[in-house]
Amino acid sequence: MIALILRRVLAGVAVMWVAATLTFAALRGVRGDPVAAVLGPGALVTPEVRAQIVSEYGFDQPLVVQYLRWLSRLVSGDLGWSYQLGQPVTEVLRGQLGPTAELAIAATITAVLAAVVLALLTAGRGRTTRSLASMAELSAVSVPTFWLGLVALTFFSFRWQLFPATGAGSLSALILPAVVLAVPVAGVLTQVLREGLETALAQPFALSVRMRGIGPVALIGRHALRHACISLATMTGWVLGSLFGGAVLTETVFARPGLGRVLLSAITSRDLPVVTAVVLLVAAAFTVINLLVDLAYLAIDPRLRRRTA
Amino acid sequence: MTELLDARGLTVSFDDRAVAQDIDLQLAAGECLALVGESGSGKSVTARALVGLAGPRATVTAERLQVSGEDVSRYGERQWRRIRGSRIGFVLQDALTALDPLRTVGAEVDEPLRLHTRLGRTARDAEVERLLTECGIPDPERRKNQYAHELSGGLRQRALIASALAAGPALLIADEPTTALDVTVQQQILDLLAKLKRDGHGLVLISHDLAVVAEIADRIAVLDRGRIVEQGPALDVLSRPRHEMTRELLAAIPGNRNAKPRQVHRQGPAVLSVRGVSHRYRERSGQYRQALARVGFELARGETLGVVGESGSGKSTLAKVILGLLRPDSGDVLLDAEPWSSIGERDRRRRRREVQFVPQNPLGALDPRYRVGSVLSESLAAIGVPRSDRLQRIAALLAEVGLPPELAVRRPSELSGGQRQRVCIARALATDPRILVCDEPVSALDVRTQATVLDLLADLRDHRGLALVFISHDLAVVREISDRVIVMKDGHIVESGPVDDVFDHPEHPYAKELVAATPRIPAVETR
Repeated sequence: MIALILRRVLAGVAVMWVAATLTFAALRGVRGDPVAAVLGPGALVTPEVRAQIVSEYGFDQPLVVQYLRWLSRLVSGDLGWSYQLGQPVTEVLRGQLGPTAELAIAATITAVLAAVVLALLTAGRGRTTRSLASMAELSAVSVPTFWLGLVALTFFSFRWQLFPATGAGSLSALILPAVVLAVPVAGVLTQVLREGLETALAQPFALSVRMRGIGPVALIGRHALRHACISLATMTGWVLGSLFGGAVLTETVFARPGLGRVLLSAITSRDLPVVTAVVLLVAAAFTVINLLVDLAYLAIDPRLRRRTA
Repeated sequence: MTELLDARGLTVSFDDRAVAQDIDLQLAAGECLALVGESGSGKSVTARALVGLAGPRATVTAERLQVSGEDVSRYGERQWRRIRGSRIGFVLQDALTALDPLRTVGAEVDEPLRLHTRLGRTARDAEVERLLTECGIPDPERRKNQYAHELSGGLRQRALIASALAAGPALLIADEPTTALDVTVQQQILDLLAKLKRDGHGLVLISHDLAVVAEIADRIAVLDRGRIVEQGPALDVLSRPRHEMTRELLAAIPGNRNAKPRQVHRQGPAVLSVRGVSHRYRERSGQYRQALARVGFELARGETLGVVGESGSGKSTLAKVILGLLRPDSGDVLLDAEPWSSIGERDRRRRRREVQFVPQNPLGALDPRYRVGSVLSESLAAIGVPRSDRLQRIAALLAEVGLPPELAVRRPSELSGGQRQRVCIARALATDPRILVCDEPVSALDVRTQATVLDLLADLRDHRGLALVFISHDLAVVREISDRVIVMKDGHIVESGPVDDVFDHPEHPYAKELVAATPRIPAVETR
């Protein structure tokens, strides 16, 4: 069991190493002058600064040395210097990671709760209930986030003034963007969870349970829900990870700081050090989340716990 | 009041179509009633109607339906729940899926206790251990904390029975409780059920196999197309069957029927030679398990080799080696005295058409989205039959396995179990093979279907001169079709020889045990 967890952690480290290598390859793969690539377009710098970049990245050294230096810098937490913004990349990202994590986690929790409630209410019901539910889910998935955000702003912030329209840092400022972001996610998760529940309820053990005199509530609560949580964990992990880098629209509509916006502006201004840092950060988030999902599998399904060590 | 169950005129219908009609069943304490019929005869749905679980779309009516003297015919769901588990226990077929795989067997046995008794946690804990012991599970303190997949097939079936008995029901209904099990394990479970009967439980035993129920049933009811066509004391039904269906079910029992005399015998040199084949798997624990140990035999045209043994004895590994899907650690497999297991996959693929496979579970072995015609067409294409000839060849193949040509447009889900297995056989024949490896080809089928598929395989062998490797855990089936037999245990051949010698005079203790465990009907006249 412990050996199994350790193996997953090592696999996570390996994934991070691959991500670091790929970003390095991308950085060095840029055609032309690597110094210009690091600087970005339109940056006017003195020869001293150029020399500093060359020595910082080791552009005058062999590729192997550059690579090793890149890795050792990442390990020590040094993400480089953004010449576009004129500050260290860690400084650029410092204020962004918190709000992003806050938003992603809040939206995921909201979506999971909504999905559990909706799936429990609709699983195994009649045809009408189910087709209404899947219609609602389809609408939730296909509604454009920025439109939903604007509608939410119009009513809840401007007309009724229940929540602030912009900013971050308070709970009331978090609610609207989190809910808006959660809507499509909840649509997907409800479908996954309901299907999981129905698959579990169709299995022979569910009949065994009912033949013991167990009612529908305990059947779902004590048995089926746990089975359905396996696929829910998979989906949730994936969604949570993708929200770390992909909440740009919501962040923009609600004028929130966040990794998504930083990434977007870094891409448009070709601020390569920032782009690579965000990519690595998102990869790290995915890795950690996947590790947690793997641990959740082990907690849910004893068949995956092997008798090693 | 010893009458545990009294049903008169029980009728179950789906959308006005009756699947069980005018069923009369009575059962007293300490008695066993067997409900026997083919799949689709209505036996399972009848049993489920007895606990109010015939399904949401089912309409159940009865002139009388009493459980332990109480009228349950007008019960609502809430009332049913009160007596399910406490008055009636229900055991399903395969404990691997009939127990919640995510919960320990202890938790599963505990569940009815929590619901139906007022026992506290420690008292329930002791009761769980007592129940597991009662059902013949040694070391219950350890077993109760294990999951179904960690137990052997026999132990988890015992655990399932323990969970059905937990809240002390006097009436126990068991729906094919031994069908998924090996013969020896089946015998142990039947012994357990017999013991429960002696202890005063009333037992309704459902099976497609008369031989299985013969040992413990006091009375037998035979179902055909939703009706009881014959019901009476077990001995009468077995020895003086009155209805045609009963006679057919009896006649279909392997070893019980007049198998066709062999027309063709061993011809010429060996087409398949297995020489000293050994293989071992590395287990998760890092230890090695010997799946095959120096296994060897020869097989000629028109000959059948039976391979018997319980799960884990190496039978399926042997099948993989013969099919060239697994390279053995040592030893050789030769095809027509030419190397087969030792050559590269590229060379082997050219000759793969000569060795074909018939699976245990035809539903799993057919692509659910392929129609029967496409399944066969794919195999024909693999050996280069031009598109223009395929329709004709498909019709011929279907005819050869006794299926009408119209079936070519059906999908596997639209076929019966027997038809599916025939499609799998036709697919194997499509490449014009010389060797057919059949891995438990009839164990998923009803007794009567089993008999017809066995006849088909024997016919094909004789007409095409096929060499058959016939793997099964069921001795009676193996005996019926094989010329020679090898008995396997833990990867070793422990006994081999002509089939009648081995089964009439088994020498190895394990072979003796297998022969003794085969269900048999004592002194039966079939015609």
